[in-house]
Amino acid sequence: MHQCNHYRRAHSRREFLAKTALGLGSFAFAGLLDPQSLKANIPFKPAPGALGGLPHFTPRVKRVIYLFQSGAPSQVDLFDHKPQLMKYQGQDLPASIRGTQRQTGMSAGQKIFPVVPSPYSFKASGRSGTLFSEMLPYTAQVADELTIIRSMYTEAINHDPAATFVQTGSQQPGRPSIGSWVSYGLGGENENLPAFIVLLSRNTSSGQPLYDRLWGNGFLPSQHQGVKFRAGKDPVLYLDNPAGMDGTDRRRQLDYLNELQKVQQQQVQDPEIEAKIAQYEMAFRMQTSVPEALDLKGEPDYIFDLYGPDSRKPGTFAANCLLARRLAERNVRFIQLYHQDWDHHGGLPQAMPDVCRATDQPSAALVRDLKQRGLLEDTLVIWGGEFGRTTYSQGKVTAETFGRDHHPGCYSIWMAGGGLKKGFSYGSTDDFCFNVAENGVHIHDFQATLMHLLGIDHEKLNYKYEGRRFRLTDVHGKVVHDILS
Amino acid sequence: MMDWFGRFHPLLVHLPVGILVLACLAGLVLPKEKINTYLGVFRIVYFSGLFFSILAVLSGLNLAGQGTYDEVNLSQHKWSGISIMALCLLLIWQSRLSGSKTLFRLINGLTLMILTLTGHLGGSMTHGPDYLSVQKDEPEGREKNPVNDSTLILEELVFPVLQARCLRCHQDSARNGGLDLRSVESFLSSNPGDPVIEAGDAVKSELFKRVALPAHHPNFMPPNGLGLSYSEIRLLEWWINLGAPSNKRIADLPESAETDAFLKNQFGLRSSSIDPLAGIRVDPASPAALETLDKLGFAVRPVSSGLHLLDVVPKKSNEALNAEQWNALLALKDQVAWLNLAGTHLNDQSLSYVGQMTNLRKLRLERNQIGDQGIKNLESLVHLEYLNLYGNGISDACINSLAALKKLKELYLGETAITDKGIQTLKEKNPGMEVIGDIELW
Repeated sequence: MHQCNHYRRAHSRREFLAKTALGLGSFAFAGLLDPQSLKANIPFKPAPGALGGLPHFTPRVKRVIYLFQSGAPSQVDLFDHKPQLMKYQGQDLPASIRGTQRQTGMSAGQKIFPVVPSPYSFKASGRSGTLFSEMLPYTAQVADELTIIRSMYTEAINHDPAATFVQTGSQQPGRPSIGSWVSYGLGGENENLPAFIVLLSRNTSSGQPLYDRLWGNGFLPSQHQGVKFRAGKDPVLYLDNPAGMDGTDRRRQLDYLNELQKVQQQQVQDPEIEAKIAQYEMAFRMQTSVPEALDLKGEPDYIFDLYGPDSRKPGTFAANCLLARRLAERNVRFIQLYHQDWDHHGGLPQAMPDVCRATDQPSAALVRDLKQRGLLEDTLVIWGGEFGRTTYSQGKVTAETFGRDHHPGCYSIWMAGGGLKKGFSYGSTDDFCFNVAENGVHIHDFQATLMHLLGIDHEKLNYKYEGRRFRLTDVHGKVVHDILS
Repeated sequence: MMDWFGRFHPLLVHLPVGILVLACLAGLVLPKEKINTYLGVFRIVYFSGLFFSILAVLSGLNLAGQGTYDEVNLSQHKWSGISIMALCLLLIWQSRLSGSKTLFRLINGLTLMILTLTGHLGGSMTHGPDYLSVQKDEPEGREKNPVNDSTLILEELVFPVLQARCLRCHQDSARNGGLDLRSVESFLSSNPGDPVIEAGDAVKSELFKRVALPAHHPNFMPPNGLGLSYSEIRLLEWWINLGAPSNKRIADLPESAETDAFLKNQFGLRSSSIDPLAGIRVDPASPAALETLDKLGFAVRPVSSGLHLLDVVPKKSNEALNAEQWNALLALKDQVAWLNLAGTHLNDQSLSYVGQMTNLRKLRLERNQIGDQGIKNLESLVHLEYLNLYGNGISDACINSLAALKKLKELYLGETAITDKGIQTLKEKNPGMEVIGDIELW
């Protein structure tokens, strides 16, 4: 118990002196500077689990659906058309282009880095004339709703650090995921559902592993961690009452449990006990809300047609996209999907059609469905992976096949939703699709922009842990105003 | 070659200054006996002072021909510099006489004073007339108030640039082309005959032409030092092309893509960072009313932390609202700007409550049982910009009520009985409105 004693003293002597003396002083000082500032803040009771003082400014979107394409889709085969590459087909990538770009151990030892132009044709789509690969025929049909960033770049070169970087702002594990930050800052609007929900595609053939910490809460209170819904019959395990028990029993049981928790809380003052109480209560409410929210029986046939045949199979990316729309309708703050099949080190031409078939139509359908329901106006949809893929082949190029290695130097993502320029492409890469040529967007810039759209100043939302204040973008990140409308 | 010699003036002046200050101080403070003992040393020092002040004066005269310095200032500096040479001669003469040192001390004191004066006048010419009062005249407002839409174009954007770059010379309505930049008023009233500013046409305006010429052109301004930066020149051009307005704010300008692009490039002022709701003033909501609304099952939060407007959503989806809840909502009808009542089993009758919340900007009513009669209640929502009626039982009969919402920018009518013809009519009546109907399949 001794080492827990600091929890018992709600205020230590030092804290007391600091808070009273500095507190009174700064209060007086604030009053001197601007007497209005003391009056302006109305005593808001923030929405469930949210902080006061947020949003920092009027938000453009109220929720996010993040379609994470794990494994890293090849930008040069999907979004970033490089016809000039035909000239260099099979030739060694010039050293001047390769520069000092890090390479993975998988291809760094190659004697030659043979340039492979995309085998796919590109077509201008929509009124904006945005170019999309023939692999993405459905996404091309919603081109005028999308904002494409062709100049994303990252620092990490392997899947887990790169995904961790995109999701938490740090390559080292342990920081909170974007969804946790948003849940911590803005809270949920639906008290019966978690503010941060995660849906994984099931049965993809060759995925890089996804660790639960990608949607972890890090050092934030644990009720802000992403709640992973399982694909299949029971999205959340043990949600049904055990045999012989009805809801009332469960309620009474929880009430007694809460009393016990509170006794413990009095003694040790551990904030995690509060988190535990909150999670037990949420689980109780989810017993009714989750089956209703995830029940697709009421959806008409044309909706399944919109999302494609896969949408009738639970656990597919298509079914998850449809669920994401239902959760968005229920005001869930942050909905994160993961689809794993994109790591095409070899056999890219063979693998690409399948993974595009699984993701292209549902992603585009989600945009169109949200648009029709008036939800796209205040929802941000993001589609993208953790890095790009090399313009040269990993291993030999044959008539039938080739592969592409990891490439942090540049890649493409798209976004859709409120506050963005529609049918707009931002940034560009060089003719080899290897380096950012103009308007590079770093991972932290992307995160800062995401937070900005939610009405959060990424520099102000922080959390003190181990003696210093942390934020999603650490000490970096600039909002990309050029893509905002 | 001689020009080149002139450039050494700023360097050479420091030699007589250093030498004479030291000698004059010694001449002032040392006792009479000491001075008399060291008269020979004093003489050598005064001689070198004289030698270097002659060099300084010659190089100074040379430099004076090269630039456009303020004439009054220049002539004072010139004559006080020359007088130092004369004082050196006097001091040399004095250092040959032993005995009483009263006159000797007097001349030393005078030399010190003239040295200080000359130095100050010189500084005024190279660093500007108010270089000693920098703190007072620095346009500190620029740093504190970033450019926003209430910034005055001439007074806060253009004029500070002119002052910073041109005031050193142009501070008199009689000289230097008569451009007097001491204040906005003097600038506007100094009318030098020539079209210094041809409102609306920068290319015909001397003010723009002179700074935009190639730097080696004889008419190029400023005559020495770096020219104006590209963005400063662009700012002048933009202002003159706007018609050279005075006492006008950025917000007063008519909207145009060029103006937007210019403001964005120059000042980072973007329409995307202007809060669309910032101009709406309402009283703060009463804490009791907020508390009640929260207890009755609504998630209530400010639209943004700086505003009193509210964003309200029921915490449970799919539940109908009761009278108590409606009353709690109506108690805050001035403050609620965004209201989301999707899927809350609303009918025509409940819309009579909604119709009273006249400050609404965004209203989500999708997936309810609203009919054409109910929509009539919404006509009072004159500020409404977003309305979602997806999945309600409405038909073309409510088109007129919807067309009456003049501020409406987005209207969602999917899954209703409204026909394509109805949507067409709406678009004709209200061309600024985006109407989204039934979903298109692939």
